[in-house]
Amino acid sequence: MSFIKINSLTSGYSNTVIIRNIDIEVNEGEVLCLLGRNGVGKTTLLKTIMGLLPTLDGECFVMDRKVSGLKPYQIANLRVSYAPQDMGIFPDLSVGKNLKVGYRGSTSNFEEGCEEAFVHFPILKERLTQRAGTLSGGEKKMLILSRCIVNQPRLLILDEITEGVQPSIIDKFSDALNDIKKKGTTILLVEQNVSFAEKVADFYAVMNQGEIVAMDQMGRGSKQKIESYLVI
Amino acid sequence: MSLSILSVVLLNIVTSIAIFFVIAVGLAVIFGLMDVVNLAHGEFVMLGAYAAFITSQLGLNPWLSFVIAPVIVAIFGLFIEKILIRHLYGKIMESILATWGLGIILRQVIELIFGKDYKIAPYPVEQTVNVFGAGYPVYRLLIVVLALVIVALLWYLERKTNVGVTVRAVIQNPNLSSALGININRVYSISFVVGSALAGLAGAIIAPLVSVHSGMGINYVMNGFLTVLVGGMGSLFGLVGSASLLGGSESVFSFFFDPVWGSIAVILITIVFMRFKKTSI
Amino acid sequence: MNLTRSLLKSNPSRNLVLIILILLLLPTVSTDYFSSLVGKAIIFAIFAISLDLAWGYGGILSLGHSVFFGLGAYAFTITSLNIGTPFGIFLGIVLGVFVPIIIAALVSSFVFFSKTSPFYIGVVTLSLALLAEKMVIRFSSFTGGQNGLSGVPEFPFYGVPLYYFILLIFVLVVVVSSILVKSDMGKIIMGVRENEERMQFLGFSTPLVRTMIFCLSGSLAGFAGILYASFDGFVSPSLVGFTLGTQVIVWVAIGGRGNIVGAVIGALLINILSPYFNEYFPYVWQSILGLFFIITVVFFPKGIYSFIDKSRKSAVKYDVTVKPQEVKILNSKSNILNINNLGVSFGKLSILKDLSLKINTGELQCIIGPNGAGKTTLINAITGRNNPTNGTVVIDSSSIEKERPETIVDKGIARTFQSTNIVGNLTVAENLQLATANGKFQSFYQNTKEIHLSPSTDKLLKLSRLEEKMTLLASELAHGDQQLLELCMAIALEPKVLLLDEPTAGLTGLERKEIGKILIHLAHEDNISILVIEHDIDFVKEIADRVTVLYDGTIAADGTVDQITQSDLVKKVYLGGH
Repeated sequence: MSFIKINSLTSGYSNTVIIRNIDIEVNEGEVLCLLGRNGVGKTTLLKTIMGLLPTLDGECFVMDRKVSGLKPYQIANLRVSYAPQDMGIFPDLSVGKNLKVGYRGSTSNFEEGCEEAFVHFPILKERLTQRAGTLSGGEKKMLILSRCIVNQPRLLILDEITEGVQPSIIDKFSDALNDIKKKGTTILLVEQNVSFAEKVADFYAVMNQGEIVAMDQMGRGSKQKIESYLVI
Repeated sequence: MSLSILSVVLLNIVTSIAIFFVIAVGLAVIFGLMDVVNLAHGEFVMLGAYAAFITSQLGLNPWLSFVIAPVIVAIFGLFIEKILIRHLYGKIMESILATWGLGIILRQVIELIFGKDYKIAPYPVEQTVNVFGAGYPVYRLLIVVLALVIVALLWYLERKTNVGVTVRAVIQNPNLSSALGININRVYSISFVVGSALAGLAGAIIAPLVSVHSGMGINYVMNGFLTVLVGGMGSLFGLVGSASLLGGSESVFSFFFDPVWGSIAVILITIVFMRFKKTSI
Repeated sequence: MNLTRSLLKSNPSRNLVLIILILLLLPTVSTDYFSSLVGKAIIFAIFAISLDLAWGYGGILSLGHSVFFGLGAYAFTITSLNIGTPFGIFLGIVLGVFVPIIIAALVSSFVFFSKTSPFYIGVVTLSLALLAEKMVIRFSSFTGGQNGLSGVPEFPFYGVPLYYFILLIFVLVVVVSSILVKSDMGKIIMGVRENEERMQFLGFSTPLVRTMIFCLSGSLAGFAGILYASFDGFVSPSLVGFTLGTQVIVWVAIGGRGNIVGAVIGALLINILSPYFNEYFPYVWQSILGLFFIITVVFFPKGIYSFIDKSRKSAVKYDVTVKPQEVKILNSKSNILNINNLGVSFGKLSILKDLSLKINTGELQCIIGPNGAGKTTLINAITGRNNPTNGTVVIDSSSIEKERPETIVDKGIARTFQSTNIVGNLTVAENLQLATANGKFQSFYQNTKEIHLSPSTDKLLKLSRLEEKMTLLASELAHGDQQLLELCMAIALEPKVLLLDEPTAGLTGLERKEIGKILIHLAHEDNISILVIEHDIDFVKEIADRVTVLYDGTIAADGTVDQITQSDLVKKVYLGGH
């Protein structure tokens, strides 16, 4: 049985249907990357899985459990970590407290998790007491990913985690993701950056106008194929 | 003006600020966190005052009312949250109206049980201290101390504990908090209970100063609403500031003119302040 | 049995006639005590109508409406007692109406002209009621303090019992207010209640509309106060106080807000029943009313009248007439809108940085760019939704960067919103009628059944097939049709510049094609400058004369579709490559 199973999912905002009849399956420990141009419904799909948007039709299972209809916090408590694209941090809380929001393990585990994250993003350690709102765009993304690392998830959902990150630092993100992957964590990510996706993903799916138009294993030649869908 | 009068006036200003603050703080907790306006807050304060009255009627130590009142009103708040407030999250107009109706019921039920007459709750301390030759009630000073304790406690909770992290996260971004595993409805109901307990405590605190009756709430709590409006939400020190502005002006105007001018001043300051405030609620 | 059956069957006006007939015949069969009770109930019904106008129709929750009622009563009483002649009575009536208007206008000028919430309005009005009660007691030399004033003169209608006079006034008030809420102005008032933002961007000064209805409501409440003082012969502080303010809300809410008959039924029923129940079940009755109020508010917001009145809003036919085509002087490609060094920041966060952009007449320009680039912020800054921090926006040589939205609409800039923004509980035709009003106050008594549209709006209406759905409520339309309706409303404003925020979001491919054709037509044939924010690049390719790429608050590229799609920079920005 697959780790994530999505059957003909339809969703959107109030009476606006944004995504239609999405079918996805991901096995445990695999990484699936969703690609597509702006506004094709990638974020909507992630938000629907997380329970942040209502499922209009179809259903979604995570670890054989039906999550459609559950509240976001119930889904998060199945050890699902979610990194939203916009407003993923609490700007008025310090960096340290941002890492702590929603954490429910022991203090020593928390500190261990933090150290694990700081291996990849040492700058955050220096800024622990700084207000998160004062971080640069790239540092905010590091903070969001670190919070996911701290929570030791079984499923990680990332929405454009590399958006606005300088090319020189982007490798740290892929290193961090590959570390998470080694622990057997399943990852579902939305990306605009095809080379990054190539580095971390096992499979890719391309979306257009609310539907999945291509899905395949990531490999040689995938990049060209994906870019042919994205080109403007 | 002699030194003794001046110091009494100053002390009155300070106690007035403290009273404004203790009444407003429970309201601010609920409004700041949940976007629910509890228009029955005054009646919750009134329940706290009745709890203080009952405490003394039972022959218990009046000091106990500072525990009994918040506990009773918190339990009542828990019940109300379950049957009513839960349906009103995020619906500001409905919450105003429904809690308004709740206030009507509470006033009627209390009058049915306790009658129309005014009740007296005893002072826990009756001594006065000598301030430059004038006697000043120790109890009024105690209110200031209590208000400071509440400020310190809330500040500690907010800044130094995990509870504070959770609460501030929920205020800043409920959706993200939920996605990070926080059950926001539980946070809401706990904060409603805490807000209710603070209302009960405020009732016990002001009970000895006033005559306790079913209609007392609305007059006191009006100032609480205005304080919350001016102070904005989610900021403890904003609330202290607005309590100082409004409570201070009220007692100054009451001293130099009379209490009605005090009330007029509070309302006018609020309206003018809100008109020119950049961001408002 | 017959009576209830006809009540259940009938429509609002029949219900009213029935109520009035009963009230008319009542004094011939009832005791004096009961007639006087009913007389007061009728006055309170007028008071309830006044609150219903402000709250039910205008959306202004006044928790202290008793202020206006009491002020009317006191102003009338004090004047007529002190002057004592028929002139004094006349002057009293005038003051009793105008003092509340002045207070309502003062409150409005503070409350409606800043960003407001129902909480703020409620708290301010409630505090006024508490204050008024204190002041009446404090300034007892005028008001008689706690004891009140007695011996208030009756109206000088010798021979006609006051009861009938009050009934006559009541009938007049019901008729006049029913005409008002159905009039063209009534639709504007309801539009502001339902969707203040849309009304603002249709060019209406919404604070002014609210002030108008609040003053009107205040004066009617004051007038009810005059009647009460005269009928009862006695005024006391409770008439301004918060208890009466509470009660009137309960009557209107239980009866049915946003409905004249509902308010009347609530006020009459509760005021006639209350004395009896209060006598036999003193506190229980009030508690039950409170409980009933809560249940109504939470579960049946339209009150008990919604159970009696089963008549659906009948589908009113509107005639569409088309204005003659204006002959426009085409000086092609001239600048119409100039944006210079525009900056928008919220606190430390700057969204737009020194952005300069020119918009040409008759050009269809698309703005693309990643999320958070500042596309919507740009439209908001142009239309006055968020005034820019620095820079200028100039249309036809007048600067608009500091203006309010309605003024900017008046200068010829119309917009749509990302999430559709229409007045849901009005019909398609009524929505269009609001747009054709061009932000001007309309008739207070006429209910026009004609919409005068510009030729391009009429064309769009036909193309979009909305023409066949004119009598539907806007909220009943499918999402695509709602988008089209909003577009029609924006075009009906006959703008020079049209700003569209993702007009095709959530539409099917076919619908997109249709909208695309219409937009091209509007720009090229009707010479409207159009700026479209769009995500769908295929759609942009189809329609755009010029494409602007916005990235991180500045313009990354600007040019024709071909120039843009071949630019490496744009590919990077748009695909997120680094």
